[in-house]
Amino acid sequence: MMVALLAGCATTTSERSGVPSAIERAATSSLMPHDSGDAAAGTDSGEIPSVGAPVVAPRTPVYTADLDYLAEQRDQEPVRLTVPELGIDMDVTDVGLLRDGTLEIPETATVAGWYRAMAAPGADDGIALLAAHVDSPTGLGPFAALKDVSEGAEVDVGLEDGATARYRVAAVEQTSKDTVDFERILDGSLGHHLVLVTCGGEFNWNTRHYDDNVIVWAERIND
Amino acid sequence: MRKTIFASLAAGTVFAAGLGAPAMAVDDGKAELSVLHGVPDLTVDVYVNGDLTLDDFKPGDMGGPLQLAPDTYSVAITAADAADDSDPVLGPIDLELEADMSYTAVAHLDADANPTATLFTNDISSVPSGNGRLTVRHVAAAPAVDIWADGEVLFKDLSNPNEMMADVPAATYEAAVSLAGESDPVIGPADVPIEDGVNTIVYAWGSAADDNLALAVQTVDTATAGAAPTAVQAGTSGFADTGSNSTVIWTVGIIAALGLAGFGATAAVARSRR
Repeated sequence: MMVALLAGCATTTSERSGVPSAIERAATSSLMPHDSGDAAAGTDSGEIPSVGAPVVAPRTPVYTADLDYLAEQRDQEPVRLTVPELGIDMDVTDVGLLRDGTLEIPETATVAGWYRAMAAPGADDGIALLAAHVDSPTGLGPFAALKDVSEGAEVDVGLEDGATARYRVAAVEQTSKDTVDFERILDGSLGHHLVLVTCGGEFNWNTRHYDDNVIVWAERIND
Repeated sequence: MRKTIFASLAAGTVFAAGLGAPAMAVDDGKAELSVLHGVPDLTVDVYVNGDLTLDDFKPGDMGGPLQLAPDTYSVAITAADAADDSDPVLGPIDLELEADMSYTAVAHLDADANPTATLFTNDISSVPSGNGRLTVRHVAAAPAVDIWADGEVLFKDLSNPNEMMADVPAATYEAAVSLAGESDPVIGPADVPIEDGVNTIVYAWGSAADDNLALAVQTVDTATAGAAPTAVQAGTSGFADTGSNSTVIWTVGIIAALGLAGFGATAAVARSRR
């Protein structure tokens, strides 16, 4: 298995077409139910106000501004990532940005980092970003297999409350760090996605960084 | 060898969605207004420009955020059973709201326990990477206070109706409020999470004399909230190298995978390649 995987490094990233349309499809499918949900919520159980009813105040969201409310607003954080096809089954911890603006990555390649300043897996909006080192001083990490993931492969993210947010791979991409644009990749305006990122390509022994990023887009499977 | 997803996306809707624009904490060209009710024991209605905007607004409640066109707004606070804003208990006060700014209007007690209102401007300017912003506002009928974070005084001698703020590493802090110069908490301690790129605004409100001091909290996204990383450096050791000279490393990787070589051997080979 490992030998086959390593041999796979010699192959170029596969020429899967239709990546953008997959992303757009996913974006549309997650936006539509959300919009209709809002509309439904806005009509108070669908009752039609009687003619001549007093004019009501415009709906202004009101909440009890205490710490309990703040805690309730917190996302359920991801704790486990599994990609059965690749044998990935790893812990997830939360990460932020380093002072230079790059993403903090868990030191060990066997733990994935969830970027807590963006959406959590299972959210309705925004991009959920998980990243892990492709290797460590002792060898390849689980994310080394990401570049060979199949379109449609299932990706499951376990949340701290025991729920699972389920995704399927829509696209995989290997791109030079010279041109990769995370503002674009992580733009959530087209709806919720899970994005997995690691490194790939040639290793620069001077900078001790890889030349490329491997990026996997996964779209939500609605249960 | 590299797929051209970005070129493809550029031709599609993604590129048309205004990419590259800086993250906006406030809707473009709008003024963001929240309203906090910090007067104990008084349920009210809030009128904006004569329109009932918050009905039966209770102490400790936060309304909004409203995205408003920049303008001057007249806000009046009435008893909860008032028919209109002709007999306000507070106001009307004029709020001058500018575009791309975030505000919180607070109805509260002054230091002598008289109802008053203060318009605060929420700082939504950029926060350094990995940090969040903590703002503390004193809107309670109480003397000056010190604000404690994790057992240390973070802000000294904060008095009604003033605020203090600092950018701090994103983390959860145990916050407490004491009278200035003292160490016994009059509020808290309580855990306050400070998130990356978010301005967490904590209000001390209520009345010391009536023993109902409390914390109210709101969060406002700064310009850096949810900022994309500038890069993802997710490799350390060259084991996944696909470069032209990578055969050696693959061999090492295979050997390591087979358990025939330990860390020392792989490190030695890695070093020799530099």
